[in-house]
Amino acid sequence: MSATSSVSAEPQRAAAVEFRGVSKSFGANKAVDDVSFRVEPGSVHALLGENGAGKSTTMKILSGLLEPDSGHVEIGGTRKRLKSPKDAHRLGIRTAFQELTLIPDLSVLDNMLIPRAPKSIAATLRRGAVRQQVADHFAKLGIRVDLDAKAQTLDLATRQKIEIGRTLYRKPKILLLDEPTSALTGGDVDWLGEIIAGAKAEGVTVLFISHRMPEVRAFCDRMTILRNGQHVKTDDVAAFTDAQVVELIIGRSIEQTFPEKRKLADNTNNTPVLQAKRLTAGKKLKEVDLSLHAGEILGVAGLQGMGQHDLFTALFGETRVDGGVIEVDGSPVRLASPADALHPSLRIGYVPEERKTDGLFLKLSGMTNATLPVVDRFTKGGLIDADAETAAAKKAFAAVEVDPRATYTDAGAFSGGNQQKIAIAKWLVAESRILLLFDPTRGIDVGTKHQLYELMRAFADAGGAILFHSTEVPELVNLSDRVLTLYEGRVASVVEGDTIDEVSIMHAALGGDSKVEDAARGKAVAV
Amino acid sequence: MSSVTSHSNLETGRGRARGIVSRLDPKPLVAFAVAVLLFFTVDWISPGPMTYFDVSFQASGTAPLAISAMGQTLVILSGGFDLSAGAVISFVNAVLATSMSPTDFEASVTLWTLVGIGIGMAIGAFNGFFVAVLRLQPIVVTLSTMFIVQGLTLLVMDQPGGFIAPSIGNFYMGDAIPQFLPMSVVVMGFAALFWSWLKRTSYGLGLYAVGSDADAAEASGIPVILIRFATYVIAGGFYGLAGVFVGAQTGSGDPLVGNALLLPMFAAVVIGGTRLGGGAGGLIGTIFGAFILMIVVNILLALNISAYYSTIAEGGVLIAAVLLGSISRRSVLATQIRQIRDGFDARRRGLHVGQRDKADRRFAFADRLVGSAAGEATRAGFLERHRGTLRHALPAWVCLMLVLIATQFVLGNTLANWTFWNSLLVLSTFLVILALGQGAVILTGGLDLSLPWTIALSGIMVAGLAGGSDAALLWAVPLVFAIAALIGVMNGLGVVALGLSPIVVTLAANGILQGAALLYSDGTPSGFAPPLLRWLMTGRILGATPVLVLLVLFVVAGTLLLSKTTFGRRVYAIGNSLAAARLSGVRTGRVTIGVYVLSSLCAALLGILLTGFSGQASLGMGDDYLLPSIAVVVVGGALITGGRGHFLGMVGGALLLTALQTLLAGTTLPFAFRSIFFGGVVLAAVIALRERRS
Repeated sequence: MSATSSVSAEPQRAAAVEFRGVSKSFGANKAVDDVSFRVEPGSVHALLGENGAGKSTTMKILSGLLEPDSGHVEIGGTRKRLKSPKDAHRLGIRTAFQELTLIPDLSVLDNMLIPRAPKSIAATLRRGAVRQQVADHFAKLGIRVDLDAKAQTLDLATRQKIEIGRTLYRKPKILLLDEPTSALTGGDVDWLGEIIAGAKAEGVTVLFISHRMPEVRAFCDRMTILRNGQHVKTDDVAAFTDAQVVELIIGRSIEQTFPEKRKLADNTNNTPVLQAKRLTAGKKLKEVDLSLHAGEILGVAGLQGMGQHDLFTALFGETRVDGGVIEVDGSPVRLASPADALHPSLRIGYVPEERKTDGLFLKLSGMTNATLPVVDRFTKGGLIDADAETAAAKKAFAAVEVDPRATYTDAGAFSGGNQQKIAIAKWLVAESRILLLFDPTRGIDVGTKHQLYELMRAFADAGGAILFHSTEVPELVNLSDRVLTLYEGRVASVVEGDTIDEVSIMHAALGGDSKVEDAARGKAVAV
Repeated sequence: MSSVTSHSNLETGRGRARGIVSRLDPKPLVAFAVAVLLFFTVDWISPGPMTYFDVSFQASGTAPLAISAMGQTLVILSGGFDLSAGAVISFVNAVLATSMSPTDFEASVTLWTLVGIGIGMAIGAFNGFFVAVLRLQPIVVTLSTMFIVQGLTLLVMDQPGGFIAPSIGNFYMGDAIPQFLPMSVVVMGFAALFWSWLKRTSYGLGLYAVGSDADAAEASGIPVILIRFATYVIAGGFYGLAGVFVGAQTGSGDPLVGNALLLPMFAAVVIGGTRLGGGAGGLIGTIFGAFILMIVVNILLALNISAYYSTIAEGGVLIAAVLLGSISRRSVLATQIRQIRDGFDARRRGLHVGQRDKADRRFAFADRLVGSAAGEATRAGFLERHRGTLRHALPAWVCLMLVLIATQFVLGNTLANWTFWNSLLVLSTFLVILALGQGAVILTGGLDLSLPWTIALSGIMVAGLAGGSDAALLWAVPLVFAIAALIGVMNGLGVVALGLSPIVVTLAANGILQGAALLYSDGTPSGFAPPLLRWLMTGRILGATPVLVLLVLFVVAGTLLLSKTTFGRRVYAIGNSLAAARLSGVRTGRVTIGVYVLSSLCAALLGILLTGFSGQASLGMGDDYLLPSIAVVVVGGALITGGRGHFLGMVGGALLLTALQTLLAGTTLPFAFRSIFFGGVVLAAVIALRERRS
């Protein structure tokens, strides 16, 4: 693609990492296609691109988890074959993965012994000796955790910090951070900034994957942009404007990322289609009131684990309601299971957070995925009528702009964005009028995000109702008619129309304390 | 900095003795306490005081189970499952009994023990190669190994006999310290010490890591392949030692001795507090688990309860142990009960969805957005749409053709001979029937191990109830099907309402059904198949056996059921992801119970047909069908973990396996080769049809 020319086109020193014509395919899908770029020693280097652009594959090749089909990688100027994580470790490459690699059933200490620890003469591991070192290491990094706690009992942010702490414990020469900030918020992002600065000061080369431009600007010296598995550009961070970055990432310019805001409708005299009164459910959710009207998009904000998951699953019948009532069209209903939520008089659809495990059947065709909730509708004499089913699926796929081949192609063969569209198409086939969308744009590319925004807007404009949670506050601000913010399982604030803004939402999400600016910085505009 | 140091010193001091190694897990302690309690119960109910002899007898009786279950625990900790354990024990026992010189009464204990352990480790390495290096499903690999090893055992020794030197019996059955410490306790003690050391090594850490989250372990740089491989090898060593111990007990060989150990082995692992699925538990608890089981059986003996109850007790204890281990407000059973109560409550208050007004609130958004014409595009070609299915289902049919051609060359006069086709189709009817039930269960991600005794019980009952009368079939057959349906419901409820692993539930159910069959027939099944049933299986209409009509109907119905009904759709959905199926509004509990009922009904049908085929029923009549039932499903292109497979592929698998069997029967190869061949075919099928790693 375009040249990698820059100030450092004639390097004085050997590159810390250099990709030379690296390609890697999975079946017909070229994940990485003839990629070449170099990472200067001692620099902090960002890797940017949409999901599916090849960032993760690049990282995995460098971590020894995947071997390129062609091309090669040079480390410190010499060509290396990374056949396993062990090979990468031997060269001083350590990776903090996005899907964290702490072992859930092992204690923090035992996790730190992996993959290698000092042994006694009897070949047993010297846990006692390591314990002190690990405690000191964590204290130095400012990670506070009980070393004997099992990893599965810790919250996501703590596990992410330990994952990073573990890579540093091995004194890496090259540190790979795969979207570390997706699990970190507010002050923890600043913590990461210090960690990266500290590593850089010790001469470590850092490769940093992130979606958030402000972090890239704050932490990184140089960056590489990938698109569709191909290298687009590598240069100093300062050489790009934010707009250029967006354009290079998606390959076209988007004037308006979000559809135009609508005038807020007056719903005071309308019965809400979905209402919760003093709803208490699951582990977190306590006495939440909310009402959702036809034609409305109601955003739900909240930091991770504030009860939003319980709220969504309770409204779908998946989580038991322990107190309060759910009303649909003004009449109370008890949802005993998701099957109840599909009842013709309710017609609620839910797009869950975990697309691959909870949202889709990867080994079944897109059509089977999309028609399953209402497959009874297509039966004739006890057997499924393929024509009726195909017609309904095709229509829904056309509405979400998925290739009609999805009618017979396995859902697993599609990219993340298209998979999410299939997961949404399912509820269009089911003719749902209330959609519960839990972080629907997570892990999908910018172009598809834009399509989803338009789709949501159209759905509400046509008279449907959407309850929508996102971890990206700008999405909530720009798409919602009203935003309800949860804090510790309770409603902290409800804002509507023009009064919706990031700062006030973050203020409420943090429980109204004074860390607003920190948090707003941490959750700043996503690319 | 000083404050930091003192803080961490404090933490270090507090926690030094902890970490996975020495952290006290309550489960083995509970198992230990129960074992001690039961031991005193035995003492209390048996006449006379407890003597050293009683203790020693109990310990040596438990040792083979305890030792083999320890090996099984290792495999389970790694996230695997080893069905070949019993076969390995039989094989080691048979090899020892046939290799020792009958004149050498003083054979070396060390030498023969090492031979036994060595054989076990070699078979373990075989398992390990396929599981670790080729990354195949442990269940299907060890199942194939079980076939192969069973065949080898029969080649070595086709009936009980042989000779195991008394020196070995004297050593293992004897005392380490006379009147104080039996050798069996010392052997188990050494095994426990070995584990305590093993657990503290980097292998031990890796074992728990791999069992807990293999992907994470791999990404962290743990040599997952090596750990898994080593696990099967070490486990094999444990089975080998258990095999030596069995030989020491009996002084001779028995090619089937290990089979009965498989159920109690899993029971001992679970009772000992090891989590099925891996990552948590340990081998010490397993020893106590084995003692608990043996003592329970002894209590039954002491109470003069029929020995027929022993498998019922083992099955019951297994289920009870899993249930007790998971009692909590969050357990599946508690959740299910709450849900049922909520349902009643909602109805009473008029809040149930079924009580709402009938207005349909459909919102045809897709129609509005793109118009209903968007759905009218042409459908892609047949090949294009079914490429994936064909890729997995066709190989069985292609292989079938190759085998048939080979048969023509080897045996001659087959392909153009209707008698050959007729008998091939009749024999494959049995496997086709099982394939539907087992196939549906496997498609949901389960496994039905209760088939053998469902088949036998059904056959025995139909022969016993009908007693040779055609008229009696009218009520006997429906009754047998009703009982089978009940068995299926119980299996399904165990999986759905109790939240137990299908393997545990159906393995336990098989034990319980075995007891039921023994009790019903009092050990000797009576009655004969009525003439009508015999005619169905052996008569002729227009030169064909009447059952072929049934076969055709069954294949059509089975194909439609799995591919064209909503039930079939839901089966596949559950196999892909239970969570996603629930969240798509599938009432997963009903569907899951449904597949177990289907499986039991198919087994009952097979039991009835088999009885007609051979004229009467026998106790072991179902034993030969468990492994083939899984084999045909896998050979037919289904994924053993569920979610993928087509019934017509399984039918091809059934025909292929039957054709192979016919080919082998026509050669001079010993019968034992059949199972070796089966094992090989299954392994080859799994390798050829495995999912490509992405």
